[in-house]
Amino acid sequence: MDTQVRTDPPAARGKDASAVFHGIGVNDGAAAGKLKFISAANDRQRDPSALKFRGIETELSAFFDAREKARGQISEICQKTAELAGGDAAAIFEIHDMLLTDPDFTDGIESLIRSGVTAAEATENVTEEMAAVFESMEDEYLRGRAADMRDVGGRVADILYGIDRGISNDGGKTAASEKVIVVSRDLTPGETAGLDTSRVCGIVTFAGSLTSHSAILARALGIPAVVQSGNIPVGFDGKYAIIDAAAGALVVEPTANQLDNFYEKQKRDSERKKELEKVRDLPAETKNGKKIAIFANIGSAEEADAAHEAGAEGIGLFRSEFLFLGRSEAPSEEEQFRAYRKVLEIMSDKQGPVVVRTLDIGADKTLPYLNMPHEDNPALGVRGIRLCLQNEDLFRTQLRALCRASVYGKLAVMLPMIISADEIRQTRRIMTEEALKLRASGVPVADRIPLGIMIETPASAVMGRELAREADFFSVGTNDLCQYTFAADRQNPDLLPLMTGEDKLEAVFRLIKFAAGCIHSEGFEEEQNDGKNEGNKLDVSGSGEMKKWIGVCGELAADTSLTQHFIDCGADELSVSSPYVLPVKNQVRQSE
Amino acid sequence: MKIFTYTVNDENGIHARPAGVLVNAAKAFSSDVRIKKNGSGGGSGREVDGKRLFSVMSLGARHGEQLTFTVDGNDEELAAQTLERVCRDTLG
Repeated sequence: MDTQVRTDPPAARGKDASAVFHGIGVNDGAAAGKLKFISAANDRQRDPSALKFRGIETELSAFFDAREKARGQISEICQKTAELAGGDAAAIFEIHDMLLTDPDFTDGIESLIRSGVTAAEATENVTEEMAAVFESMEDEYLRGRAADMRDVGGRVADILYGIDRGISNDGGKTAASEKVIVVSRDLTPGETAGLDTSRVCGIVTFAGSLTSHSAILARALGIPAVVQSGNIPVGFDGKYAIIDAAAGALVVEPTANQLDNFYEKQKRDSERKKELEKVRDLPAETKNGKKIAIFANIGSAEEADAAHEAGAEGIGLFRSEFLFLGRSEAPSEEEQFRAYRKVLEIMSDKQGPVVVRTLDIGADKTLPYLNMPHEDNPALGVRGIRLCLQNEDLFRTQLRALCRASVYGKLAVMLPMIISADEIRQTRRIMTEEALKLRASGVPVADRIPLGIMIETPASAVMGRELAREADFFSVGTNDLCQYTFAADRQNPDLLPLMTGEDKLEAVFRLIKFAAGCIHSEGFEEEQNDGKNEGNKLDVSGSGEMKKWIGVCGELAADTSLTQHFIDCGADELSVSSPYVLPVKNQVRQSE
Repeated sequence: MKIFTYTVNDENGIHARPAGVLVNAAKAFSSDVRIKKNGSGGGSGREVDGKRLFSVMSLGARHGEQLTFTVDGNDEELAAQTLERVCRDTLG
């Protein structure tokens, strides 16, 4: 890469001042190292005018040499990715290699070179033409291949321009043993996989998202990472910095004070981490021998890998609404099916189920492609199960996708915002209809798909006895249960003191305790099967000899100061985001 | 000359990896392999060289769409048989 300093750091900054950039932390953890800017595909500095045409034969052999070098790099990356993330993740690199040797690529470049264009420029042009063809395609998956084309073609072009891409060859600017924090606009899959993970101690991307390739890899490898930091001037290249992923911050040229704090924090963190690793293979059991299942909350199929890695015994909450948000039309049955199946397959070796919460839209989340009339008070409006039952086609599509996925693991379905048994019965009816239709057309559906509900309204807790007859399990959504119990908007920071601390939460604990008593007393009853279902071997109603259970999947479940309270309330399961799986398990083992 | 048709059965259509498998299979024979997409969707009516990955991917063949393979050359018999099997077994 070009190591020239393009932008000077702000001149006014003195020795004891630092520059801080805020983004979104991908994981926990902190690290310190030199910043290493990696130019991303779209801001690489290629200068066609710097290269002169050296004759057809020379340019041709330069191209083929560069291509072979690129293929060598790709083969290395492929092997490395296979080791890190498995063969499936590496498969795309085989396609990368085929694209580089494809006659459409080489013939195009050769004919441009024969017309007097340099190898570098010809490679760039043909790459862009081919990427543009992918971009214009109807199929979303194939459109995404434009990025792959630019990744591989760009790799060849870079070699021809003499631009270094990877971290392994940076012209000796950083010593081989030095730890670096990689900074980039965004990292392509190739760039991410090409990182020397023994040296990279942090990743910062200006753009990117929590589900981008680099974020996923960072989580898998436990490298502190921050996305959406906003632009960081390249003038900071080589400067010492601290990345604090938990706080989503990058501190460039930290002050002595900040450094001290960092080292102290790092020492504490590593001691804590070591301590936590000890409980990974131990059962989540209280001192009294009560087993508590520790599951993970996820928002996308990609996060299931991190959950698995973190030691979660199941998925306690898969927020399916994230499949529906940020797009112009609802995801197809096929797309949903694939996402659910993927999570089920990833978790298939675990004991616990994958609990998929059906579409929970409304309140603060809206979908542009749904007709959602304006509501003065959306938190008390058409949301969760209400919206689904009013948009039955949308709901049916999701339930059908879930039924199809059910044969790939231990699927459970959970309904949000329930206030009455009738809502569960209606859903069960629709789900049974869809399952029967699928079976009639030869598509297998699991014999038993437990159907549970969120306890997030006071009504659902108070009506626990009636609801426990219809539902196979309860899961407490603490955010909404607090907001509706205390009649206090959770988005309003002024009201937070009303619902913070174990004393204040007593009202919520009593509701949970009551609901827990209801579902536990239902648990041992005989299956309520009217016999009609047995003929077609469909039973989405019962959970067999399995005891009915109650879990907590809201944010408070991750608060270890409340773990004892939830156990006292009767919780059988706690579901938290992946980084909290071990801390909560550890807390359970210290509880009574 | 051998001709056969194949209706794409993979839910994802002929995306990157299946296209790679198909192209690698075609490259193993000296016969020419041409693939044409039938029907009315995008890319229909176009015929491409079955030994070129980018060309095959650019057909954008999706689930349920029909492709016509034309195999022509010395080993066309074996090539057509093999490709048909690859379509059926590997591409679903």
